[in-house]
Amino acid sequence: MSSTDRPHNLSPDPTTTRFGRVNRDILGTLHPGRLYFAALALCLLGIGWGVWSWVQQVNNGLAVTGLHNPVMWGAYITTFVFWVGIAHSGTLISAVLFLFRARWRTAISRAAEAMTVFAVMTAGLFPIIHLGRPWLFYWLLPYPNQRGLWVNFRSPLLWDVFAIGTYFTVSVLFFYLGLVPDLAILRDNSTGWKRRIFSIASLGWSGSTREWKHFNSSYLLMAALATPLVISVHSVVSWDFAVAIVPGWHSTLFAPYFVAGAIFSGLAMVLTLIIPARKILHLEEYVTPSHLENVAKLILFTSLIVSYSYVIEFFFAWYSQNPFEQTVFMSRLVGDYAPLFWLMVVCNCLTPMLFFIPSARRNTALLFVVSLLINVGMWTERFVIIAGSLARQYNTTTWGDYGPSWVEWSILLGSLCWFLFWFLLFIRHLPGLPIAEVKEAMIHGSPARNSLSAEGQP
Amino acid sequence: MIKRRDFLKVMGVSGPAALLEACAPPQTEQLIPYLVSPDNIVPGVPAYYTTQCRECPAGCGMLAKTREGRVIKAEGNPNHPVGQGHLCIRGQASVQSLYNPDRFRGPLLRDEGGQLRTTDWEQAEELLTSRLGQIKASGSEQRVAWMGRLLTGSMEQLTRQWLQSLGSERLLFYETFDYEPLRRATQIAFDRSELPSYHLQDARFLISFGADFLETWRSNVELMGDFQRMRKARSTERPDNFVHISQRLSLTASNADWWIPITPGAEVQLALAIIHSILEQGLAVPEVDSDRGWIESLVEPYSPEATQNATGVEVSSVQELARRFSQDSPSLALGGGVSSTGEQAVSLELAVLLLNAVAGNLGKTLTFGIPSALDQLATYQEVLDLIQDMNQEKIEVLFLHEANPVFTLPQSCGFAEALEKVPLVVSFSRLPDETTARADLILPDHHFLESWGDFSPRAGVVSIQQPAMQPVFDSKATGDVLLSTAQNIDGMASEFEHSNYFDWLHAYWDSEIRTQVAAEQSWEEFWPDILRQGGHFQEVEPVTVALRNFSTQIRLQPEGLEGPEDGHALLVYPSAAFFDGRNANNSWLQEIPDPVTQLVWDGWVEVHPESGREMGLQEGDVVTVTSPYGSVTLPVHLFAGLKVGVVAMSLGQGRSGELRYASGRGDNPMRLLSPQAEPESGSLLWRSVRVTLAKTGERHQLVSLQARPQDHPRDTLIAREVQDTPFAEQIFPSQLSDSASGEEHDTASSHHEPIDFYPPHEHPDHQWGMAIDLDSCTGCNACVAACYAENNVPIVGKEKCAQGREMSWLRIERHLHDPPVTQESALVQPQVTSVPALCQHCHNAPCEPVCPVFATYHNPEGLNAQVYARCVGTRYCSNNCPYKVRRFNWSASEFPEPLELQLNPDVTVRTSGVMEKCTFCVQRIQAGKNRAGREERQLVDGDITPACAQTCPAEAILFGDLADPDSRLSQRVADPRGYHLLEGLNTRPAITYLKKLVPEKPFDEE
Repeated sequence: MSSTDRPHNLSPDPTTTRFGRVNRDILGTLHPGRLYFAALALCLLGIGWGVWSWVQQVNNGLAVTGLHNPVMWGAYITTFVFWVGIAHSGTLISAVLFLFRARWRTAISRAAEAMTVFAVMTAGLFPIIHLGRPWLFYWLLPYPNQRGLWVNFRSPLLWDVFAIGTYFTVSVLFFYLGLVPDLAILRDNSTGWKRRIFSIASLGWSGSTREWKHFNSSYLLMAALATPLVISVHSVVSWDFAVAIVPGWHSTLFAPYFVAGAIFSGLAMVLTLIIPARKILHLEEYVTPSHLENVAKLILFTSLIVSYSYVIEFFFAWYSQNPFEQTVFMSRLVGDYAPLFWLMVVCNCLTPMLFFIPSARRNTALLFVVSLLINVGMWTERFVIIAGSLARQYNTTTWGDYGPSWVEWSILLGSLCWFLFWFLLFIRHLPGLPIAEVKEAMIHGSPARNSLSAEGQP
Repeated sequence: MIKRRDFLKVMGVSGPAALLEACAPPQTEQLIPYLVSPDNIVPGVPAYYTTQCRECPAGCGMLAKTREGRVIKAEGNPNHPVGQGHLCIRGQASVQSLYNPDRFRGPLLRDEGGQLRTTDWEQAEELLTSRLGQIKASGSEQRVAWMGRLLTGSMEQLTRQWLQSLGSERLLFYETFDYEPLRRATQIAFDRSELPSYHLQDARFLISFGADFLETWRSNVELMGDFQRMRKARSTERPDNFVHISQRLSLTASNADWWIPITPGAEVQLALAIIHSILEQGLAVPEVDSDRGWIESLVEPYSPEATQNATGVEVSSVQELARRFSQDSPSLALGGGVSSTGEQAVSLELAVLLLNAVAGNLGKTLTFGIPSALDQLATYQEVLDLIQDMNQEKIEVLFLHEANPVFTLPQSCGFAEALEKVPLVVSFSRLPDETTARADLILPDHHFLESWGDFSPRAGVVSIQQPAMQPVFDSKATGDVLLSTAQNIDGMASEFEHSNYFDWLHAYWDSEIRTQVAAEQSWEEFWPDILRQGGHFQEVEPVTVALRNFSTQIRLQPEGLEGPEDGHALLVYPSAAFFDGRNANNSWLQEIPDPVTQLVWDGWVEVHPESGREMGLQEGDVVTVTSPYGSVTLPVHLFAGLKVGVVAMSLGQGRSGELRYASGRGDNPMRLLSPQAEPESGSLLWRSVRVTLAKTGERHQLVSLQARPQDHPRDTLIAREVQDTPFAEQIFPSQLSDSASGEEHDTASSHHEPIDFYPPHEHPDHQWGMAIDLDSCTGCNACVAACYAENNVPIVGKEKCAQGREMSWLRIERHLHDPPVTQESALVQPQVTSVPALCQHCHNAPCEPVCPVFATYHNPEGLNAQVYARCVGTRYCSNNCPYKVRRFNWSASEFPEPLELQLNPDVTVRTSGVMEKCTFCVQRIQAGKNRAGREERQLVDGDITPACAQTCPAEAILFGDLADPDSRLSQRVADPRGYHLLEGLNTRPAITYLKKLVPEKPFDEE
């Protein structure tokens, strides 16, 4: 790799230049070790187990699940909402915070965007998985057909199709767009067939000023396009429940409640992914405790919104004097669903309170534990809302409790493995940090906002 | 770079090629039309055959609906006086017993090693012929015995003659449930040994001393219809006119206004106390003036004060009962039922007859002169005599026809052991049962839907039974067996000129019936009319009867029950679904819940929660129930509808043998009963023992299809506090006038102000709707069975029922209310409302907007339609239905051979993964419209009836066109009792429920 082969100095010397060191450090994460392959293999195993379980379901019908009258939605829809929610944080970090010019986002924005894309991909599996006749899933798409049939646009499930389809499209494009300069760096640092792939993928990026200008304006436009989706997509998903007649679902609060909850759970998932990743990939200098602290502050903020939502729902139930709604909420407070409800309150409302303490916000071990608890708490929250409300509807003679079966747990596990699988591939093959932006931050940012610590001068 | 032209070329070829691949035509099937079509079969058009139901001795008339030569549905025969177009749950389920997969495929012979081997009819009959020929040749008498179900008419004549030809008079008509105490009582009281006829519809006050006439007593379909006529005529000021006195809150008791839980054996004293009070209040009718002397001296010791301790009923209540029973004239008192047939049975019947007499009911609601077929029943004592003869080896051949005595007789009487002493035991049973397990020769009879026959349940009603299809298996009509063996026995052939039963039946009807009732008609004129009508029916005038002095014959010793003093009195009661166990292998009947307990697929022993607490028993604990005569093992069901100190079991489960649906469930209470006969009447002593319960330590899951408070105790408590709007609404008489005076009341009519976001649906032609009268619905579940039959609803089995995955489109919800009046009284208000829950076909259906693929939509005639072919199974519709009437196919439905022959070809059989629900029998709506179109006329009210409405013996369900202001439905929905379920949700259902009218004052209050 002599400097005479290349027209531009895209590969600075890592020993002498800061940029070179950035390249070396970040590109250095792309070498897999035994741990990586072991993790990948485990993920594949989990995916295989999930697929096999689903095959059982397709062959034997939904009888293999724990679903029954009246709880027709359970673990699958809970997991669906869970993954869609997680996706929102990624877009928040990469698009919304970009518009707000929060420079600290740089360190985690790439990983967050990737998380968004993979979470949406995972979520998108579940509307198919939970169908009674999944081979006909394409009937939810509005395509011209000789029967003259359109889909029912009044159905929230259809709105989901559009919302999630749009979200996936925009997220992928946004992700790809941001990747282009980094793909060019990868191109310049690889040989053979890999170089050819990266050449195609980087769209002939040469790093000229004109290209950078176009890049910046299109990135800005994409960010602006993605931003409203953060609010709208999960609002639409929440309307799956809010426009229904089910007591416990039928509430005007759901859109902001779910959006806040989505961001909340997504930020927790960001921490869950990034804290081990920075350790294993030795990126502690680039993803510093102060970045994590900012995430923790956001978590605290959204946790407060979520706690407020829980309280206000009880207020609604009391104020409405609707006996059916009161029954559902009392069931959560002191009734049969109290254990799950209080678990979710502890995980979602109480543990993030620790982040009022400054030192707690910078303690990576604590951050990791709390993020796991939040993930559990948020899955439980969706479960309590979905299954807990369906189990206690209007007519007491039709009440019935639900517990997921081994098939549903297996598919949940499989979805987690599927998500991690893609994330691992991403970590291995694409730079986990946006190299170009890191460099940009080094040039434009103040020492306090630098990705590198003040001592990191060559 | 690929050139544009080349690109288009490639796409142009590969595109359509890919499409062609996907467009491969499906496999064609060969459809061959009839070249010579069989008579009466037009494919697609149903043919109806009149026949009769033989599931129990009531003998309701039936129409068998056939398609392409298969029976698919049973309906009541509207022309038939018994049933009048309705069938109960057993009648509706009879199509399943026709196609029961466990039916014998052909005759069976037990070989040397004791195994049953299949054989053919020739061989089987040969064996029979040779044995019977020996007996006839030897000239020995009374060596052949026949024990079978009640027969009348041609079959009785044939059987009797056949046996006589073999030198035997041993013809026992055996029914598990007899009415011998009543017949003995009528003999004593009126010198007429016959069962009386009851005319409930004319009664204005009804007291039942344990007769479960809405379930199995006498003729439940007919009595339910008469009962509803009685209820519709009651006054609104005092709507309580039915008092039921028993130890158990049966379905009949649940429909009473007042239930008196009474100590076993105290019924007689209560009846006498009421008579005493009638006399004391001077309310006795003048007709009994001549008998006052002995009546007064008879009842003198049984004043309300003197009997209060024994009966537990307060003096004021007895006096009020007496007053109302006399003043609300004519009234009616019904005697005891199976579970109250103890040592005092005859005395109870006498007391009840006397009660009717002093109130002036004789000749009005209680008449004589219309003998019932049940008068011919053999008594239990006669059966015991037969057992003795069997043990003494006096019987060489025993025939068992439609009887399973090993199961239905008390085990202690030793019938099974006595069978061992009979060299040849022949059973005509269709299904393996406990008796065929000991039979030597099995000659399976046809099912009644496959064979000719006749039956006369009472004088004036002679029903014809005709085969509605070819036999499903290689069975043979018993009449044919008798005649063909007669042909081959020396000396018998000459006595029987006909070689088959069809000819015999015709000859009988020609010579015995036509000559009596239609002598002027020729056979060719007479017979088609009979077949069209379903038999011959005529009114029979009742006769007047004179009361005899029977004061010396009424014995009132305390009822003795064998068993430990601290034991519980055992109540054995007939099962409304299984009757005496004969239908236990019917999967519909196993899966349709027991109407009182809502339990499925099980047998259990009912224990009062108080007793349960004392004994430390929980719901589902398996206990051994021991009497002096045997023991059974059953799970405990805690049931508050019992007199404390009594435990109850239904007869029906506990079957054994190769019965896939029945075996291994519950246990047989006949193992516990005493073998003795009641000395006066010779009847079985059903209430004869006390039992002890001992925990085995095991647990058994009892599955209820209706969520019970005990399943969710904490949440139920919460719901009770906050939900003050019950699902099943009742109305008090005082509220009726409020509603009628124009107070705001929501019905399906225009009073309701629409607050809708979208414009209402338009219904240019018809708007189908329903009215369900909760005051009429008894909760018997006949409609549920009819729906299963009509709509190909699959059975899922106990495990899936436990998971909440039953598929019934229509269910009866049993709602219990807190009584509005609190009173310390022996009279309890059952406060049960049975609510049929089915798809409400809402105008603003919440299920419709949420289906992403339009699989459910509002059709122009007001139905909420479900398109199975379009459903992808997201199940949002079921989540959004507040009534929870949608059912999802969690797996593929199974119809074990030959049950698939019963499937209705007009209704899709749904695959796994699609949602289904009540369609208001859209196939019948369509058929009705087609018929009207063919006949070139408009639809009229009554053209279309869904299966549930058609079979309801209480006529609680009315279907019709809301767009037609003259329809009966439009009148009915304007009733002030009308309301909608969950009115406040603005779903605007097409079904209007009519509130149940309940008393708001204590019984004793004026």
